[in-house]
Amino acid sequence: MAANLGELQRLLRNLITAPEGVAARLEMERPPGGIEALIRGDDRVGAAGRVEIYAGMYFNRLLEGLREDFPGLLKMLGESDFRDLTREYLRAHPPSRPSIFHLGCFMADFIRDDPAGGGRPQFASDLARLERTLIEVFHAADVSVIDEAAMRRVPVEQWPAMRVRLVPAVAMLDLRWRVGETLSRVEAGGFEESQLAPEEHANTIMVWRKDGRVFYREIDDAERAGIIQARDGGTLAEIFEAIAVQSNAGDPVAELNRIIQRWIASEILTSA
Amino acid sequence: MKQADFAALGFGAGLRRPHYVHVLENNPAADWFEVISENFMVAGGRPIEVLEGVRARYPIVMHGVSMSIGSSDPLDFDYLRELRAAARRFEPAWLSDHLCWTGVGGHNMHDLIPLPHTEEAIRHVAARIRVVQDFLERPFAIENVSSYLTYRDSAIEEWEFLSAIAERADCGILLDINNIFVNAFNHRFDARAYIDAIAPERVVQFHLAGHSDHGAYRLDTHDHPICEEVWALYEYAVRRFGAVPALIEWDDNIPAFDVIESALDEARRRAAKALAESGSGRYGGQSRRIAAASSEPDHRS
Repeated sequence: MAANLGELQRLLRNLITAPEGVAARLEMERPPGGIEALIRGDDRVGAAGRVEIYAGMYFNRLLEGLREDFPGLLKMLGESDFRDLTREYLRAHPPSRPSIFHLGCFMADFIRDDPAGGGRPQFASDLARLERTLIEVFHAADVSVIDEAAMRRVPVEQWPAMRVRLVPAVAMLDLRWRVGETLSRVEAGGFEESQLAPEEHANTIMVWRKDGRVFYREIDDAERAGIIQARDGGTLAEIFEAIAVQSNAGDPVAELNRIIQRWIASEILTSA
Repeated sequence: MKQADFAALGFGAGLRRPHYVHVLENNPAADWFEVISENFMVAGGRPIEVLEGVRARYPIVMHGVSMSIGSSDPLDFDYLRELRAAARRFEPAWLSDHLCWTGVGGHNMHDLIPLPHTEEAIRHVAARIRVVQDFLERPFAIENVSSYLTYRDSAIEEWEFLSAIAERADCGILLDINNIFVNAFNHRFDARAYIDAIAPERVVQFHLAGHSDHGAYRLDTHDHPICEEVWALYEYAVRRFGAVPALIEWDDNIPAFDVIESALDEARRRAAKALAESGSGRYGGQSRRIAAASSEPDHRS
């Protein structure tokens, strides 16, 4: 049977990516003359078996990609549930971009909104969001940063008017579960399963990149307020004020200096 | 675009993440590196830093896996713009991708799926390669893929299909020796007949890699050493095509870089032997270790 290129490719795509498997999908597609009319089989591998080679590679390649992107989620769900999650996720969000880097970009929202996901731990979406953010920060654009040397070149009296902005390689996440601690423990290894489940406690995590490596830590309300101000582009005076309003520190000036010095050491600021 | 339009780079290796630090710190004895284009089509971060460092020391070639040149979907110009931007930034000696389709209807399967060997596919792909070559502003080569199925509609052999497209598109051929070997088993043809049928002036690069044997079929997994049969086929190809740049690929179960260097030495030894037997010229790039990024690679004359 002669099929035009587009028809042939759409049929093969449907077969290769079918969550229900090639044989079941063939029953639905029913190409005239069967798959043997399109694909040559032989005594070693039949026509459908040849398509199944591609179907197996499709799922396993994407499963492997998601395993690499979400090691914490994999650890917390276990192999079998993670595999099921991958199958459901790919059904909802088949890969559409040329780079496999984008494959998992909907995972956190998918878990959060998945009506069939009742069996998954409630923190799974927060954990996926953190892990996805690590990847995005890893690949975020490079810009020149304000480092200690750059700060020293600015007269102290000009600091309040100095306008700064967050670099692209920094992100802030407001989370319901303390998944940062969970992920740290997964990365470190050696913890019992019972020690990995996160506490339900509203928290904010900052993710940033320095020297090509990605870091994350919980931040308090004062630092969070400062980050929001810096994200929108603000003067150091405005950032200081945002921090001071939220700060419970006994010595707000020392607190401001501590936070700014830490940001500069972390290379998260650039000139606005 | 023929051999003369592509630099004589010598013997190179695929640049993979486990080797980044080793390559940057030790300047290993590879003449050039091939990178997976999509891994460096990102805004910034460590991969970009690494490639800038490697590019300052070695010539590079950018090898893509997602152009989907054979898809019936329209060409993805967002992808091509990103690729062109990366090429302008890193100045590869050339770019390449696969003679296949990777998706349709906006669904990217991230796999290299073969095309039917039909006149329709030849016209379709050749026209698209011409557009891509013009757009990317650099020499472009198309690679034969490993495959596990063939289509009833295929009217000609794989080597005729590849040759016709390269000729009509006026592009280079990246000839993957392992893929020929794998396909020869999977589809029961003579690997040497394949090589004999390809026009020498079109072949601008070789790929050498390992595969896995699944009994009923062979899978192009790039996770094993290159087997003796593929080395022998490589020698046969060198005798026909001459001193073509060769690249060692290893994508899974990636060993320490000294294993890659041993494979490069073996490729040099095999190529020298084949060239001596055929009375052809020498490879370029063999004595090169560190070249300034600003120096243009030697072009064939």
